Amino acid sequence: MTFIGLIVRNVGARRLRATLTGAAVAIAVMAVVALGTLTSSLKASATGILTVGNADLTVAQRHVDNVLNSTISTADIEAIGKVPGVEASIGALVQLDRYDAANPGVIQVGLDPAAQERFGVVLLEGRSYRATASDEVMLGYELAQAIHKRVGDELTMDGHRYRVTGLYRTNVSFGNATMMFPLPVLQGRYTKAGFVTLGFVKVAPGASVDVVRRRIDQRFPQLAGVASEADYGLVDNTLVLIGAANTGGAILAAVIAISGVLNTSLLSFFERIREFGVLRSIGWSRRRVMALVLGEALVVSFVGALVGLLLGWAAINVLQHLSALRGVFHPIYEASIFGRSLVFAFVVAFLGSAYPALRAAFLSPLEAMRRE
Amino acid sequence: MSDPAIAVRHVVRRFGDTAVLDDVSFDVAVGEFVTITGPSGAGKSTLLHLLGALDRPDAGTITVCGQDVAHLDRLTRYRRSTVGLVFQLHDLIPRLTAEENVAMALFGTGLHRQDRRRRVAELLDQVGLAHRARSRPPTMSGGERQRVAIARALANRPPVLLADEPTGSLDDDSARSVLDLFADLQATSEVTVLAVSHDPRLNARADRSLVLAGGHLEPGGASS
Ligand SMILES: Nc1ncnc2c1ncn2[C@@H]1O[C@H](COP(=O)(O)OP(=O)(O)OP(=O)(O)O)[C@@H](O)[C@H]1O
Ligand SMILES: [Mg+2]
Repeated sequence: MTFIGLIVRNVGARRLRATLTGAAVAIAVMAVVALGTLTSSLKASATGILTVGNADLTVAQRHVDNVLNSTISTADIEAIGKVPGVEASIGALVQLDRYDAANPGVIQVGLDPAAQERFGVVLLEGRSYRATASDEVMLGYELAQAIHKRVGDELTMDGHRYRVTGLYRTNVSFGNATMMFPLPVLQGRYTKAGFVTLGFVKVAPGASVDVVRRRIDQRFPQLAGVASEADYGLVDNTLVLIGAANTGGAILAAVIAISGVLNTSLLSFFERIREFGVLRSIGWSRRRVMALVLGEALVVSFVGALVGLLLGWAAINVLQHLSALRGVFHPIYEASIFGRSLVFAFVVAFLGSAYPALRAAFLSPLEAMRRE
Repeated sequence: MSDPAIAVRHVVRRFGDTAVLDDVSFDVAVGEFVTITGPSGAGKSTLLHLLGALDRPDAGTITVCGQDVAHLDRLTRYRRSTVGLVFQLHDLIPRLTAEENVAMALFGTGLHRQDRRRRVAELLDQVGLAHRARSRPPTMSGGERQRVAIARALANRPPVLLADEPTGSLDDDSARSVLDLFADLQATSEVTVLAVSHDPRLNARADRSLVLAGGHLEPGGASS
């Protein structure tokens, strides 16, 4: 028998208990996986808006709850265009609205047709809308598929009828599920004349994105330039809150799992005090006794983590099909979640069994063997 | 004359105000089989624990195979390889089989798995339990369990075997199988045995019996 074999043997000897402890770890890992995936997916959906513009720098109003509530005057967008180092600056109005029950959150972009190319819009079919046509719309090809519309079809959005003039794709896959209107039309519908949501800045060749960003931040204190994912929090507090909720959830799950493991390890320690005493008296080192107790917890946690990964994956699939989240929640499966779950299981096993392991290792063999 | 396997000199062990062992001295020669008898509470187990490095004397020195037991820096190795311990209650792990229980003593010895397995088979054969290798303690008789415990104690070929009433909790038949094993050990190996015993049959087979009473060894321990 190997040492690992002994560990597995000991775990197997208390199958029901090991199963219950493993289940606690599994549920915790499931929560971590599901919450983590939900969070990163929601973040990706929310921040996709910021990346849609194919720009070096996206500008939004500072400290809004949700980046979609950002408001920038078109005058500011023009002024940004004159900041040294900026090659071009375009403004886009972004509004989230319901299309139908299956598509409760469709992103509408209001953009001047002249800015489309810069924005990374590639026409696939049909033609662009005219700059002020109040009854024309273009669809990202993925959205067109989802709502079964083609060039020439009509659709109703927010009580207004539009004819589809063309289909497009964008450099960012996120953009392919959007619809696009002439800027003044969308501004009119949402009574936002003279305002846009986001500014997309192209930096002149040779100029540093960082330097330009700092200049914009200085001149327009109400605005924030976003160059990388780390900056998203500046323009969307919700993302910060989601991130915090995720961390809180993971900590809670860890506490539950650690209590489960601790409970089992302690129980098993008290039952086996005599056994540990015997092992020490026949020449087991403290380290080996400790390795035995830690190893048993590790095996249980590890198996629990694997089950939890599967459960988490199943939970994500269920969430994805909840109507409340449909269209908003596109799960992004990160390979790192696998590694993180294993680290989680390892930490849970260690924290849950460190105390019983130390007690077992530092028992006086004589006192241990006096126990009946 | 060669050095004794066990040399106990002026050993004192107190619990609270009472000196359970009060200036105890004796030697056991290499290969000798010595039993210790005496009334209950005389400190026999206490003495054995000191020899097994499970406890420390308050005064005096204990030397086992040249090692000063009170000042060991490699306690684990001493317990594993210098002495083998057998208790009155066998103290096997009930969920493990006989061979696995014996194998417990071989972890951390650096032996390979194959060698460990071979050694375990050899030991079970030596105690006459090869056919019970896969049995668990709860399904074995008291004598069989005690013999498994002896096999475990002998696993790392310790020069000294310490046994605390090895037949104390056994019925006659079981006790006989353990007695035979001790006789066999005596005849076939160099191992030095110190056993606490109330069992006249075990004492009869010993080279000497020491009597511990009132914290002292009674003078003139009878030779048999
Ligand atoms: N850890 C301890 N703390 C306090 N007193 C102890 C301790 N260990 C032993 N004693 C006491 O020391 C005395 C001797 O105990 P010991 O177990 O050595 O006796 P013994 O000769 O083996 O007796 P028995 O034949 O009943 O097994 C007893 O009075 C016992 O209560
Ligand atoms: Mg005793």
